[in-house]
Amino acid sequence: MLIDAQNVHKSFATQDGALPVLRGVDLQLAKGETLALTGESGSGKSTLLYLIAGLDCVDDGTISVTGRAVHGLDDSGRAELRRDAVGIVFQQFNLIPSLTVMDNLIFHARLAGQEDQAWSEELAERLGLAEFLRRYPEQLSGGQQQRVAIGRALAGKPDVVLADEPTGNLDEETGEQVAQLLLDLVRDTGAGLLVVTHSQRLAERLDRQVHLANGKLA
Amino acid sequence: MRELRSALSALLSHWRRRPGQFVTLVLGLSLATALWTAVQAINSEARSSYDRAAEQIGGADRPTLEKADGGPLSMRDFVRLRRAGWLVTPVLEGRLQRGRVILRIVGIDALTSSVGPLEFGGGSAETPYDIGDFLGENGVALAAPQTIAELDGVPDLPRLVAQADLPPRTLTVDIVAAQRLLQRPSAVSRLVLLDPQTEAAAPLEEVAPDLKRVDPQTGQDLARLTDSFHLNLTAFGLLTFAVGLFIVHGTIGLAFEQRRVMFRTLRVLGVSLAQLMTALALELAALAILAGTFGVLLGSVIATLLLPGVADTLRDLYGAQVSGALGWRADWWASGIAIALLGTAIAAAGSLWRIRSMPILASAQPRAWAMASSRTLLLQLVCGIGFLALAGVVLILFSGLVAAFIIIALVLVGSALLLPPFANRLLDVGQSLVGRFGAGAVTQWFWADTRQQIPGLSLALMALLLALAANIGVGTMVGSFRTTFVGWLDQRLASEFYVNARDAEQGERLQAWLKERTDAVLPIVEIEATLDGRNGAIFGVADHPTYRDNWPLLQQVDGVWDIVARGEGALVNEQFARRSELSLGDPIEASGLPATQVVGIYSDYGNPAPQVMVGLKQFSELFPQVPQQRFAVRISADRVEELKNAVSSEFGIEERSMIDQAAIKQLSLSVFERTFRVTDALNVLTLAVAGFAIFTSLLTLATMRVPQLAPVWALGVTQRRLAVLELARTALLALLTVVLAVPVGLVLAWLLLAVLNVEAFGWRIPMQVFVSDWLRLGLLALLAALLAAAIPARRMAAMAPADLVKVFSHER
Amino acid sequence: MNVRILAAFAIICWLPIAALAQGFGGLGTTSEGYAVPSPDKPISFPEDHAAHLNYRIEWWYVTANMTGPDGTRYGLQWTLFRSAFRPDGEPGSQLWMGHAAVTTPTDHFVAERRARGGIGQAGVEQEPFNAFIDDWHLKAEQGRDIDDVAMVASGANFSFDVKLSAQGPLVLQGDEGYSRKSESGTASYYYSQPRYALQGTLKLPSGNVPVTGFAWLDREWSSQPLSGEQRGWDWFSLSFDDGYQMMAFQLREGADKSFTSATWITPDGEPTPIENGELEFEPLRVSDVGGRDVPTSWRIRLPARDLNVTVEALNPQSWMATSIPYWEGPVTVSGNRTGIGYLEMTGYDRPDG
Repeated sequence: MLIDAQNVHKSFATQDGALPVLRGVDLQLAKGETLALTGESGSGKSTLLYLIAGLDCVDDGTISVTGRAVHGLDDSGRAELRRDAVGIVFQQFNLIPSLTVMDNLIFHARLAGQEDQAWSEELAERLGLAEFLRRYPEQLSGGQQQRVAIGRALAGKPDVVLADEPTGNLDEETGEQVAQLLLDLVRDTGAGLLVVTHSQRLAERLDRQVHLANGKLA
Repeated sequence: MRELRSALSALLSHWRRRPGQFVTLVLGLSLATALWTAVQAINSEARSSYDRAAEQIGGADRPTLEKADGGPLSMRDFVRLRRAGWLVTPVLEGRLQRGRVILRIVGIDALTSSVGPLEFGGGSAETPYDIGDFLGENGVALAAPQTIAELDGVPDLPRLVAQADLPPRTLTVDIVAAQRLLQRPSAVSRLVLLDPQTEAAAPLEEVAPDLKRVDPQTGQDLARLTDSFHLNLTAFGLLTFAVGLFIVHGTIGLAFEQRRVMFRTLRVLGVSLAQLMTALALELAALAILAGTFGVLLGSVIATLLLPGVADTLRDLYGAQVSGALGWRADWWASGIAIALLGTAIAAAGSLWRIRSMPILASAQPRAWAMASSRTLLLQLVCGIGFLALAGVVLILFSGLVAAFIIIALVLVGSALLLPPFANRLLDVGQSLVGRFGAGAVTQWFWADTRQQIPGLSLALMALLLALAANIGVGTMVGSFRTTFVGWLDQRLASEFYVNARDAEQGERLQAWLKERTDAVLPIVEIEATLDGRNGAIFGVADHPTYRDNWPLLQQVDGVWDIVARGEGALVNEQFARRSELSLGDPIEASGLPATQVVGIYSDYGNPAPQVMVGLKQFSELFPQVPQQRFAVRISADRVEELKNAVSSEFGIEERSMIDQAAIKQLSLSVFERTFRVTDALNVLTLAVAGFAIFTSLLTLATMRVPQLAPVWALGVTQRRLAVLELARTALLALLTVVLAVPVGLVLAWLLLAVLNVEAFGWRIPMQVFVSDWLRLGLLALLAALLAAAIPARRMAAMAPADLVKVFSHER
Repeated sequence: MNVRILAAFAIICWLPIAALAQGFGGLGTTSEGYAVPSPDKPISFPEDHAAHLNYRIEWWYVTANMTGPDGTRYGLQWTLFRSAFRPDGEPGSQLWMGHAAVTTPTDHFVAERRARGGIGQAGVEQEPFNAFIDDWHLKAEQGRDIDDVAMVASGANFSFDVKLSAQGPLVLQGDEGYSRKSESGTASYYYSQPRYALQGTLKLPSGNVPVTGFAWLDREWSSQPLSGEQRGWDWFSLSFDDGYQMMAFQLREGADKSFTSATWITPDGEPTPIENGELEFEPLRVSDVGGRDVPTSWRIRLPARDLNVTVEALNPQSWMATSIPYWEGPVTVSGNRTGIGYLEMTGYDRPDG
């Protein structure tokens, strides 16, 4: 099991007291599997993804990623997990503005010590970025930026890729292309993929779908 | 390591993309470091000069033997003591004027002097000499290499031989040569007791009952004497450094804010918080060392430019000879780099702390620079009042130079802290006023928004306040001093002509000759004396209307001049009276002076040493060995030139031994102006740094202003108008700061004149106010602020509408 | 003897002796303008006890061997050097330097004084005789000559006050007082009083010590006394128990080359000069003196007189840490004659000395 989340609880402090978002969620992702996590705005689907990525901590329950218990790790441990085993794609691209496209693309792989030049070149080629490599992110369109982000997530050949609304900031056509690229590349690397999306079209192209409502998976 | 390297390279790539910000940061830190370093370098150079002077053969730090009656010593006394087994070495010290140059002459007996760095036979290949060349009337003079360079072309000097480690502007010569140069045959200033003495010698009372042992007086030691001056410079250095820190704080803050997205991304990609913090610390340290190095270089340039002026000041004020050339010293290098590191750490501490506590998932969007918080304003108000109150307590309870500086620091910091709450309150009042008069929406928004900017600009405004207050304070002090000084010179230099005879015999003839040809001849006689443990002088004053009408008496008893003329009372100078807490009627203790009471106190600026004046008749009775050789001559001003020529042809007295009133006044004023040239230069630099601080702060704010301004623009205010409003806002804030700086500056001036000057120099100068100076300074500050605001405003006006729209299109 | 020459020159040059050990090349020419010794001008007294300001260098040099009440041996040195830095013969062109030392088997006390001429701080008066610098003096005690003198000197932690009384005639060294110093003919005027009886008090940190013994005065003046490659010397004044005495020195010129000279003195004070090459000097033991290697034990052979003795320093650490450093101290003589004496050595400041 790549991801194994059991009975995950999470609530947020608000002015009106604690607001429970996740109320005992169980989620599994098998090796090589692609899974869509759908739900309404504010249903907590992004929160679940962040918990899995170790970007936040569960209130209760357990999460393990590639066999490592995320809930028991400290900041350094969680950073190590993200660095070595997880690729993340955000809705808002989150590229480093002062690095070139090329440097952004290989940044994560380099951080993890997984630099593979041939693979990076292939990624750039397949993502249609070859001619932009020396540019800076702000000189690219949204779709191109997201392709860089996808390339960055995959350059280090992670075990699992987490994507948070990867097409949310893109127009429909561009989103379509980007989603296809993401799926193709993930399948080629054999990684598992968890995509948080509210796009039914995207969700349907994945192996499996789960729906989050009222803090639980349906 | 790998993560650290990757993180660091990502962090540093930021600067590559924003070279302007990089330059601002490095420049700000460099400026701050530079002024600090300049001051340190100047102080260090001066101190090293004092040290060299102290360890010189002169043996100023050793016990000496002097005549118990204060009379002069001669070589005969030296030989008498040596033959009796007392190990002493003679020193003759004096000043020698050659053209415009004044040199210190130190005559030594190299054969008996066991102290000092003299080396004979160590003469280099270019200047071979041996002790035979040194000894005798026409022996060579040893001098520091830079002194020799400074004396290039000066006539009538002995052959100069370079020797490192000698004090600046000093010629070390054989005592016999010194006696010839100074025209004091066989004279000895002091007999320095060597260490160790032999046990065989008979006690001093048996050998030489006319001599007494005098232990070195720490109070007159140069370093101590000039402490106040250096403390002054250090305070200035610290002030500018503090102002510079505002810049650094602003820039670092901006650089951190702009990289919040990057920090988050780095952490998401697997850089742990600890690694991120380490990388940031390394980045800052590297920047600090880079800027520190740059600042030290810049500082040395500033110091090199200022040092000649400082050297002149120290010589004129304290008689301390300081080299006009800067030497490279590890201490101020290290201190410059250290202060840059420390400054960066202080400036970055807040930003680093925020990064540390930034949740990984929090919105990475740069938050508003600083939110207006009534709590912050209240805190500033309370702290500011607290600091001022503390200053008041120190003022009442403590005295001394350090206390004076602490008071000044407390006042400045307290006032700076009070600036934001005061400005906030004033703008609040302004806003409600315009509201009451039914101002338009834009006007209302303008006032409210200006108030909103205070927290973000408060640091820069505080920097401006400090710089302005320092300028007003120091300007007021110097101006008051100048006015007082000029008036005092008129009183003090009432005679039209001053002349020095070569010796006693010539003096006698000259006096008789002058008496027949002029209105009055007033002998000026003086003898060095120890006054309340300090080196000072006793003067004899003639009974004449010149003094009765003009002498600058601060306090006096009735009939003061009659009492002095009868030899029944003495005058003391202000610094003696203050230091020794003398008031009218108090007795004075001085070597060679019978018990005398103070009947008057006179002002005596530009002289740190205590003085006593007694009637000329009494002086002659007390010190018959002091000849009358210097005279002040009363004569109508148009006859001075004629008299000069007559004296010159009749007595062969050289030009340099005669001076007329106009010339001596001009000389005194030029000394005065030079003294404050350093202060002026530092003032200007401080203001420049403050201007730079405003500029960077505005630049920082401007990048975050777009989201705040976009809605106003969308509602129909043109970009151009917005830009103008931005300028107006800056002008308003600067003006507010100027207005608040005036009272602070006046308080500072009062502290400088009534507290610091009294502690440092022993005189108090009445404060005078120079309103035109404030206006000029206010305009200057306004101009600086407007200039600083111009670039962001222009950018605002020229911004493509698309960029403004972006604010709405997505939240970034 | 020659440390005295060097010391006298060194006050002019202010150079440590080490710097001079490179050779005395430059000094050979500096006699220009000064008077030069000549065998045709004999010594005459009492004038020649006084200073010869037209000669470049001169000294009054006393060494003494003494014993305390408990039989402890002591050595003593009192020296006044004169050196002219201009050949005008004026008092103001003279520099004076005094060295004083007391040696015990375990300690060595040293003092130095310097003065310029012409101001009354140092000088030599002829009648009555008085050689002085500061409060140190060598002064006629009875009569006006140097037969009976009082000798006083002091340092930071020691002093002495002794009376000297001549037991025999003055001895003219070399050829009637004309003493050659090299094969090339440099020379000085040189006479001695080798036999003073001494009585007086040493003040040492451990207390006052009354002493008696014998002293030896050397007087020498010259202008151009050095030559060639002379690198250092070893000078001995030996008093044998049988009443004979010998002054002997070697000037070391190279690895195995030296110029030797000596005077053999009978108990009645009759001198016989001993020519260069007759004496043999052999260092027997080297001591570490403050990091320097100094031979403090010697074998001296004079085959012509059937002399074969070993000379041993009383205190190997008798180092004169003065402006011009050298070794000087009392010695013990054993072998086919026994006795006491004084040894002076220079040029051991450097390894190649």
